[in-house]
Formats: sequence, structure tokens, C-alpha cells
Amino acid sequence: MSELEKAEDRLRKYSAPFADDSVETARSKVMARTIHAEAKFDHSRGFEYSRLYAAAAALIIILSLPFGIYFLGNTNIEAREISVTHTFPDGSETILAQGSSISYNSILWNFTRSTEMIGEAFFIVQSGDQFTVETSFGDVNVLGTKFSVWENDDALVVQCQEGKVDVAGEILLADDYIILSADNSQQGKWLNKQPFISKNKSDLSFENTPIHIVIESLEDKFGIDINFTSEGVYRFSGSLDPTDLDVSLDILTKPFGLKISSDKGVVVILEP
Amino acid sequence: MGLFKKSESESKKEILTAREFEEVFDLYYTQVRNFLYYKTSKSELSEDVAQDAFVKLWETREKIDKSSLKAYVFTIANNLMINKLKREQLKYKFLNYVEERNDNETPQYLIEMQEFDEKLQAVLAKIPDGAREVFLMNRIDGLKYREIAEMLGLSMKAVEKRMSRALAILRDELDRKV
Repeated sequence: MSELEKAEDRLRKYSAPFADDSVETARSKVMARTIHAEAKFDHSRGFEYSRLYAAAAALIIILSLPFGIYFLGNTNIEAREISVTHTFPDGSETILAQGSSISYNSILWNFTRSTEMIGEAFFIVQSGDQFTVETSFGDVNVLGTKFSVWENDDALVVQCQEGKVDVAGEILLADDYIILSADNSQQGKWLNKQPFISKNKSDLSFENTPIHIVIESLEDKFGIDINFTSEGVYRFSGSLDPTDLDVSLDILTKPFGLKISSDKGVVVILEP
Repeated sequence: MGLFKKSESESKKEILTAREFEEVFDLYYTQVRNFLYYKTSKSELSEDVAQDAFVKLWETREKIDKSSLKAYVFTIANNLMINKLKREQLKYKFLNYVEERNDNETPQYLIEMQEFDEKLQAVLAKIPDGAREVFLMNRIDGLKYREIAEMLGLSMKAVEKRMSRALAILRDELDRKV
């Protein structure tokens, strides 16, 4: 037998030097590092608890997502003592009048561009998709523009300074305004280059101002309720007396021929 | 053995499942580990790297073509070993589990065989990388040339060439030492 044949004979009797149980040991180690560690990626097995846990976790995430978005993105801006300027995530701006507030979701802003508003605010809107101001009287929709929104329990006043504004289907162009109340609507031209429709509450000086706004100012100033349901167009120019309610009511109502009475502590203004 | 029943085009679209991964492990782990041992003569390192190769196979399962799993895991193992290995002198210590005990074997015969084994294993270490693994996969694990070619991503001709080279070196070195 040659050396090569002898070698070949020996080689046939060789085996790699690993213990009998080494494969099983290796198998356990590898599976622990792979499929057991990542059971959630298993695409072939039938029902497994890991799948149940994954599904439960996914369900919890899906169900809690709206709450998460709400709580994390919920943004409330309130102008208590002075007016407040606020910039939205897209660069649009608002100036909130004293006593006013807005509320929107900053996470969803770029999808919605929608904010709730109470009180009065002036908006400078970046061009883009529709921008919506939600009020208790309905939505005010715009693209890119400057406009003021004022509302109280009785009326909504929108005045457009630039661009185009859609208020309940009525399109306002520059210098247009609209007053929406529970009973009717008034529209017209109103040149106002100030951010706010209403005046400084301590001033009580008005120029061509819708009467709803004047009445709201009186209510704020004197801490009273005034009941006025109008069917006509009333815009007031002049100064009221911030120290005397009766004088102020007289100044406001007489030019229009309106009557004043009282009902259970509420001032009632009646049309002639 | 769902993995191996599927057509090539069908398997290409799917990601390796956990069950298929276990099948692949059971089929190829020993061969991969032995291949690494033939390459390095380091048993512990071979086991570690073979296991790492299968872990890597699992981690990259979304990118791989299931029709070439065998070659892929050998390639991973080879690359991992190259990265880890510092070139040292190869010292094989093959177990001789299949040695048939023969009552006629004399103590002198056993001593001669032991000396021959030592010489043979030293000669095997001199066979260049590539040829040595192919030669030992064929001679010890009994793998066919076609199987080796498939595992290592070689052509049949390349396997034959490596086998010839290994045999030539084995012959020369053994004759020289006689």
C-alpha cells in the first residue's frame, strides 16, 4: 500500500473533532439568538402567544394613537391680560385679542390647518391648503390671506383684509365683512386695516363698527348682559362713556331709534 | 420540508420563515462547521463562527434568495471566519471515531498508525486554503463534487482542480517524508 493509499484509508476513518451533542447545543444557542428572540417576525408558525402579544400591543397602539396625538399635539393659546401673537407650525400667524383663545393640534396641523377660536383673532395665513377657523357659528375657510374673526354667543363677524375668505358659502374679498347672527346675515364693505375689529375695551371708541361688537364691549366693560336681536344693519361710529352704562346705552341706541328696557336684570335693546 | 418543495420562482418571493430556518440549520450546520474546521483547524472558533453565520442568515433573511440558501450560508461563514482569523499554524486533531477495533492489531501497529496520523495531519495543514477544505469535505464528510461546488459557489471544474491540487501536494509531501 502506497503512502497516498494509506493516507486515503486513514482519512476515511477521520471525523471533525466535535462532541456528539455539539450540534444540539449549537442549535439551542442559534435559535435563542434568532427565532426565539424575534418570534414576532415568524411568518410560518401557526398561533403563538407572541403573536397574540404583538397583536394586543398593536391594538393598544392603534386605539391609543388618537389620544396620543390629541394629548401630545393639543395646543391651547389664550390671551388673558393682553393680546398674544402666535405662529402656527406652517408659519401662519394669529394675533389673539385680549380674552380670546385658539385651540388646535400641532401634530396634525400640516394635514388639517384647522383651529378652533373663541373671541377675536386676526389671521395672516400662509398660502397652501385650506385654512379653517372653527367658530360656534361655523367654519371660516381661506387659502392665503389676512382676515379678522370675531364671535360671541350671538354673532360672528368676519372681515377680510386681503385675499379671499369663505364664510358659510359667502365669499369675502378684500375689505368685505360679514356679520352672521342666529337670525340673519349682513354684508358690506368695511375698510379696517387694524388687526382687530373690536376696539380696546377701556377705550370704547368705535368707527363704523358692527353693533354686535359694540354691545359685546359694553357687556365686558360693565359686566352685564345685553339682549339684542337685530334685523337691520347697524354700524356705530363714536365714543361711549366708560364710566356710565346708561349714558353709553343712550349714545349707542338713540342714533338708530332703538329702545332700551330691562328684563330680570338683563338689558334688552329693541328695534323700533 | 416546505422550503425545498417550492419552485425557485415561488421561493424567491417569500421570506425565510422560522420553520424553514430550523430546517436549514439542521441540514447544513454540521457541514458549515466542519468546513470552517477544515479551513482553520480551530474547533471552538469553527463552532462559534458557524453559529454566527446562521444568526447572520436569519438577520438578513429578507434580502436573500431562498433558492441559494446553502451557498449563502457558506459564504457568510467563510467571510466571518476570514474576518476573525489570524493566520496561525494549522494543527488538526481529527477524532478517529470510526476506527475499527481489530483484535489482530498489535501495539506496534497502533504506534505506527499514531505516528502516521500525526504526519498526515501536518501534511494536510500544508495544503493551501481552498484546496484543503474541498479535499476534506470530500474525503471526510463524503460530499460529492457537485455538492461542494453548490455549497461554496464554485464550478465543478474549480472543485476538480482543487482536489487535484490537494492530492498532488499530499502525494509529494508524504513521499518526501517516507
